[in-house]
Amino acid sequence: MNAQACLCFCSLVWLGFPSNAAVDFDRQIKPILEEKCYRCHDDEKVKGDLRLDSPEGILAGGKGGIVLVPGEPNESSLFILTTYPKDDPDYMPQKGEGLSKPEQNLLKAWIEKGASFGEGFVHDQNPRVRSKFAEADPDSVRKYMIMGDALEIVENLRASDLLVDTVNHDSSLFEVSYTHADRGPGEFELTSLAPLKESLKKLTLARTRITNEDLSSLSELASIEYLDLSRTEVDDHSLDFVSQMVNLRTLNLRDTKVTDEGLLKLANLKQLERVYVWGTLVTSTGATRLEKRIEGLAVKLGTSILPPNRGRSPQR
Amino acid sequence: MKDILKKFPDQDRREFLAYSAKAFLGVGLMPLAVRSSAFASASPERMPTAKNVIYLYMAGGMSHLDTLDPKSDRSVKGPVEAIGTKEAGIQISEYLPAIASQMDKLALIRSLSSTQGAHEEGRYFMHSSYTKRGTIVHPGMGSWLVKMDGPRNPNLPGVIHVGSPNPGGGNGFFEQKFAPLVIGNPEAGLQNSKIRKGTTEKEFEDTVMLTNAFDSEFHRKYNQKKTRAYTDMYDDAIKLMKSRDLAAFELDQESKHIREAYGTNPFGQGCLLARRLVEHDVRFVEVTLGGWDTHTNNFERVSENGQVLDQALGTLLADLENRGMLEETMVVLATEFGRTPKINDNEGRDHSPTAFSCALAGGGVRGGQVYGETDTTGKFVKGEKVEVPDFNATIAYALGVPLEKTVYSPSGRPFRVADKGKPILSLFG
Repeated sequence: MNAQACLCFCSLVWLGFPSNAAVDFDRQIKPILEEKCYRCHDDEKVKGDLRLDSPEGILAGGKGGIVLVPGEPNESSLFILTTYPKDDPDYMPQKGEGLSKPEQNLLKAWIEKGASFGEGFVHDQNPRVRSKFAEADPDSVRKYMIMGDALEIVENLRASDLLVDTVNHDSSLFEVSYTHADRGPGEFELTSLAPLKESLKKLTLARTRITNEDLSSLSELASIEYLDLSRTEVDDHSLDFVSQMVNLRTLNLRDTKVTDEGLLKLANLKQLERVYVWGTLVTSTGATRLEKRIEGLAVKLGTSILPPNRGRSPQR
Repeated sequence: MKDILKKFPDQDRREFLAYSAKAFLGVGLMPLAVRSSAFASASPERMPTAKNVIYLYMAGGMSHLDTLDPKSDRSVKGPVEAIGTKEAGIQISEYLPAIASQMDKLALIRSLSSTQGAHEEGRYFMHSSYTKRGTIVHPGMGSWLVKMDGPRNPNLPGVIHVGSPNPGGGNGFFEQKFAPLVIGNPEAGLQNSKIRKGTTEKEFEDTVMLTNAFDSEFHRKYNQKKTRAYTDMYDDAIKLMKSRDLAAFELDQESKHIREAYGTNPFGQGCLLARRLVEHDVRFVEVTLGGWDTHTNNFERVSENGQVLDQALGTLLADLENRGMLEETMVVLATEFGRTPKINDNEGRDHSPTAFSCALAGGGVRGGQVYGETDTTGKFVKGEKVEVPDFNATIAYALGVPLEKTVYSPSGRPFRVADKGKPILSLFG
């Protein structure tokens, strides 16, 4: 099976067009278009609002958008559709004989070389925003977001089972999660995140076995704006360390052991916008008390979730 | 300096400024990276924050007229009345009171328009942004997400479908490991995920080792992506069997009143399972509710189905908010098409793809808004038309999947996550 696949591949070797020779539009490309494309895309018949009988027409594209991207044959439907299987609904030309392999290669080479329509011809500067990741290997996950010095730092952290991701798809900001790292109590070494410096914005410790001893180095990571401590053994004492995080905006404490008393320790965190305390001992009195101390803060006690009472039983 | 800047196109100039500010001021770790989105130049006030998706799919074509886009014209609305919501000025159908009370979290899109009027084709288009073809199978959004951005939980599959044997968006031409795990019955959880009774762990390991020994010659000889993909699958399965994350599938760990609040029906329990899975960092969970193909007896059936949807979605949004999960979790309510304003002889409504409604919540979407509108009958879009690829581009944009990135199928054909769709940026921030 695999040997067969390999043979097939070999038989598809490029039917070589010397790729460094310039391709002349009038002499080499136009005759192909005339023979294979004009039937449906010239002034008599304009299928898909597309005319291929002039450089202007080709550049203008048709109903489906632009058909030519100079330098990018695989992005140019003018070329790529001619290479589809003949029974594909998108295959071009839809009528008459298709492009031979040498003709396809000629068209490809012409686009690759910049799709010039003759000497002195200059394309408008490409208005399209080009992908910066076009060359990235999509198999290597998440790598496409991060480059340069950061990559090494990030890869070191990932090697110790941490999840490192960008924040809100801004690749100058980082998030680190310990949730799936399987660290025991006392094994968190939060200081190992220090190389990320000011770029560290989000830290997730949810569902971990983090201890107060581990949390004592939190103050060295003051750039963090979002801290998730939910579903841990975190208690009022832990909030002594959290209260050092002056840039904190969002804090998730749900399903922890914090109380009203502990919550009040956060009163000097003036940036704080949201604190989630569902599933804790925090009361509405405690929540209001903290909200009064910090402008713009919402302490989210959560709304009670109750089965509906509508007199009709739900469909089964 | 000014002249140098002028040479950059707009977006580059902005990036350059941000870059130099950070570099000169010594802030952060620059130069590290570049912005991920080609739409940065038109970026909304606040960047979207979505990491995961709960995608609720209404199979059969949910009548927009009797749910999210009620009309006042008597010949169109039938017996259905509109009710006010938590947001002044937004009305939805009386069938959805719980959703109405969560309107501050929801963005309704009333101007969707599809080119596909048959179920299978419509569903395929909605899930992949491409129309169905005989020659290629396109991947769904979940598989795109995991392919491009990886899983967040190393032990669980990145994409899970609940409640439908034919979810409409699979791994397509991507490798098998990006395929959704399908859970038929949410209450039964994940089947066959424990070591068989009577087999010891040692025996199991021996079996695995023996399998590997048999395979090793073949793997050495054919060390290719496709063969590796199969071994990866076995490795993933074993990792899952040993993982503490298996608890994500156990609905009986939830209290009775939470389970009842979601609705004691497969869809409600599916939504609860979806929340548990996302809590365990599964990235894309799709839950299907069928029965929306109301050619006959439309009003009674939409009322019944609406109640199931209303209870589950209303509870889900409140529950996600309580847990602080709504910021990173995007909830999508989608269907393949809408239904006709004309009520047929069987008290039914027929297929109408020219205009229909969907909704988004969380992940950075600004709640309490309506995007687009239909004419007085609800048959056609009146303003701000949203094509199916645009809708998917909006979800992909929220997740940070690069819209402009072309990926080639094994046969060498180029595809993008939302084809040529453009995201609706005004929904965010």
